Amino acid sequence: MEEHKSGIYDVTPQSDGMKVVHGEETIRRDYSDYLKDESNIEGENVQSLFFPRTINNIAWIMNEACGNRKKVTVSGGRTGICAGAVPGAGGYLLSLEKMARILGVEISSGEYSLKAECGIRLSELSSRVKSKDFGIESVVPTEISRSRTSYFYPPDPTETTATLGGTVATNASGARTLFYGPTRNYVVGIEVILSTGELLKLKRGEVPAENGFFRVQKERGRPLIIPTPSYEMPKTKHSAGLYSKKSMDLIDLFIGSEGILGIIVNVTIRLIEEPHRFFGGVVFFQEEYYAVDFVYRVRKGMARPLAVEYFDKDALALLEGTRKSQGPVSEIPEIPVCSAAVYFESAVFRDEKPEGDNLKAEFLKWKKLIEEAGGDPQSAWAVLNKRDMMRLKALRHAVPESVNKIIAQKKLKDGRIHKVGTDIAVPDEHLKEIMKFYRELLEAERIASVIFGHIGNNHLHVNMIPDNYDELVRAKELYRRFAGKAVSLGGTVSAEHGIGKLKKDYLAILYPQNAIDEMKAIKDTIDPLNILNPGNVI
Amino acid sequence: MNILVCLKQVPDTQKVKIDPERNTLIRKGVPSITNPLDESALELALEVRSITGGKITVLTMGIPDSEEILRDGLSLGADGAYLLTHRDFAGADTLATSYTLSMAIKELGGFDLLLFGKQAIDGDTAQVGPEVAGHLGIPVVTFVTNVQKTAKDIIVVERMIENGKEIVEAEYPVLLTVVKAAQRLRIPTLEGMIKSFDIPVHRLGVQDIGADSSRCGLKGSPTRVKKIFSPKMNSKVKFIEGSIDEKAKKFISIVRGI
Ligand SMILES: Cc1cc2nc3c(=O)[nH]c(=O)nc-3n(C[C@H](O)[C@H](O)[C@H](O)COP(=O)(O)OP(=O)(O)OC[C@H]3O[C@@H](n4cnc5c(N)ncnc54)[C@H](O)[C@@H]3O)c2cc1C
Repeated sequence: MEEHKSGIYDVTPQSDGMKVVHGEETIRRDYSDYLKDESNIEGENVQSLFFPRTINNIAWIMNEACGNRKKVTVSGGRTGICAGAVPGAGGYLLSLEKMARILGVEISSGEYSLKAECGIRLSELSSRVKSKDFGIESVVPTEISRSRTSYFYPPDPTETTATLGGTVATNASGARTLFYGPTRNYVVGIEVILSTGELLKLKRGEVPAENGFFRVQKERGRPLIIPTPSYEMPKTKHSAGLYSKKSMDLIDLFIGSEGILGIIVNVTIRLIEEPHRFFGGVVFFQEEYYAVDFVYRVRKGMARPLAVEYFDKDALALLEGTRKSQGPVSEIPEIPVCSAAVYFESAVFRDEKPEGDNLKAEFLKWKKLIEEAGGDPQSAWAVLNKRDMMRLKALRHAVPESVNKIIAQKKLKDGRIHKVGTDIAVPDEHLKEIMKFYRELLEAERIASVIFGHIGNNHLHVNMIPDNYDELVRAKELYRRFAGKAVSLGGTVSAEHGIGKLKKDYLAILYPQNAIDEMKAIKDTIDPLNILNPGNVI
Repeated sequence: MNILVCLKQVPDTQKVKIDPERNTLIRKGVPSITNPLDESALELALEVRSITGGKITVLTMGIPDSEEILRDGLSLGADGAYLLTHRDFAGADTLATSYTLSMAIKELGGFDLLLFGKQAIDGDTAQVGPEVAGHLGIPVVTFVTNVQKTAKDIIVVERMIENGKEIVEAEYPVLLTVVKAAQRLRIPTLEGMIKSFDIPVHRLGVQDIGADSSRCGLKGSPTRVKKIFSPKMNSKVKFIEGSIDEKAKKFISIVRGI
């Protein structure tokens, strides 16, 4: 893998071999998928859609954009739910899906890293890492190819058609973030094309904040000097607005910046050893209260959770509906009658030499917690083999997917309707309180909803499903109240999906105006013509 | 009711790639799973037992690693597990496999109901179940979708046929080969999982089942695979002209020529 040093480099613009589609009409007619993401909102006025294959292609596009005063929207897997990849102000749209190669793998000082282009899908990435068949010409170190150890890349937002670049741009999380942390923790290097078409190479640890600024050297001329943010972020899982920490690294400013500072063209990630065995289960509770109590007990108990996920009664009803209508192909097992369910996942690690006894002991720890919380181990599920693990993953994924399908139906009735899905997290001690708050308000407003997600991180997705425009307006108002409450408890308005174009109002609830002004100042320094991803975040 | 379910560990064919030159499965790095139709057989066994009571034993022949699928069976509620594993068992075709399984079944003895998946996704022969019934001299009902009724001496099952279904009554002991069930295999309960760790998986070799080793494994396998190939896809359309008779004749000659 090529050694890079942090800094800004010139790239020779060159456009050969790149597919470009011109014309608003044609794009709307034949490429309408590229105008939307999972928010189902459709962008307009895109004059050219580019499918770059190289860094040079992208540099060329940015030169064109600067010359022609065009806005540029960056599009990855379009699995985002905040319309981040939806073109907000027309102009150019850049789909990065053709840049999907693995560029190299390497072991240095015991750490296994992989460098890939931004457009690679997480599904492809994980199967390549698993099989160690990287499809690359450069040599794979024998420590990797010969070793019997399996490695993996922990960030997994369950939507595996997401791209690596997109997940870095949103600092995506997933169920196992509870144990492994978000995407940010695994990014050791990125290369970014700036709005000027210059290439910025960043390696973790090389460009720290100093006296309120980051200084990055250019190949020629004066360095770029970027102010460091000074606002304080909530102390929860968090992905709203630009990253800010006392002594931070410039790379962290770009991770989670939702494409407003630059186009991440390739990423070097850190891979880690896979545990010997993952295992997990689902516990069914007769009362929501017991499920929440279980989560508190899990935190204090002896079991070691990698993921703790929630399904409320409405989410379970949705799954049951899908199971009934689709039959066995839905892969959804029959769910016991209950009011709430909690998915848990754990693992035995390699150094623990796990044999049957050890696994039994681990399952017994969970059993104890379940019984203490009023759950029933007779009806609880336990999974150990990979296929059952995948079935439960599919089960979790089916919830938001089913909601999105319902919303698509409602949208046919009234085009203005969209999902109002929260992404709020609060500190550990406030889970019970926020849960109670959600319930009370949802019941008072009588808006159909499902609550599911990362309860281990106190990060539940309240998905409101408005039936008409009036309900949409009320649902948005509810979101604002949820956000306000969460912020008052020290939480965040977006823990993993980002702000995109849909959640800017909530960013204003989280941060005072001066923090948002700081973000704007950073944006102005790096993208003075405001070309990149207009309408996102700020 | 004393129920036996035979399971086979197979490569997950959804993840398998074909070696383009040798037309064989590339098994390297492909995860192993329980043959899906065997899972249907196990699900059916669990359903029957929930009505009749009794015991379920799971049995497989395979490498030591196939203990995993027996463990999965135990976690779902099977009461006992046997693993036929021995180097003399390796390389078996369907004849040697069915001989070996039938010897084990005789040795274990006393089963009323023997359940097999209709076929394994790696070989697709659908022969092992019926051949075992042959070795044991017991009736077999193939393509079973579900059990309608169980009584003391008889069982009534539904089987799939070309244009519908057939209801078959059989006396015990009977062997059923099962097709995809209406219900996917359930997920183990936590209680079942915990219990399963205390149940041993018994290993059986050639001598344990009193088998003739010349009838086991590669030695006992007359099948020779000459060539495996995937048929060439040809999407050319050709219209056949003429009277019905002429058309039929031309059609037959074309098909013969393939
Ligand atoms: C059913 C479902 C479940 C989900 N569950 C989770 C979950 O559990 N956790 C979670 O975190 N997310 C989840 N998501 C959201 C989604 O998967 C993530 O937001 C994902 O990280 C986006 O990746 P993408 O490639 O699809 O990016 P896109 O949607 O294409 O883009 C997202 C944003 O990143 C920008 N961008 C994309 N690529 C680049 C690049 N190379 N350089 C600069 N900017 C770029 C875009 O402009 C946009 O602003 C879920 C989505 C769905 C549909």
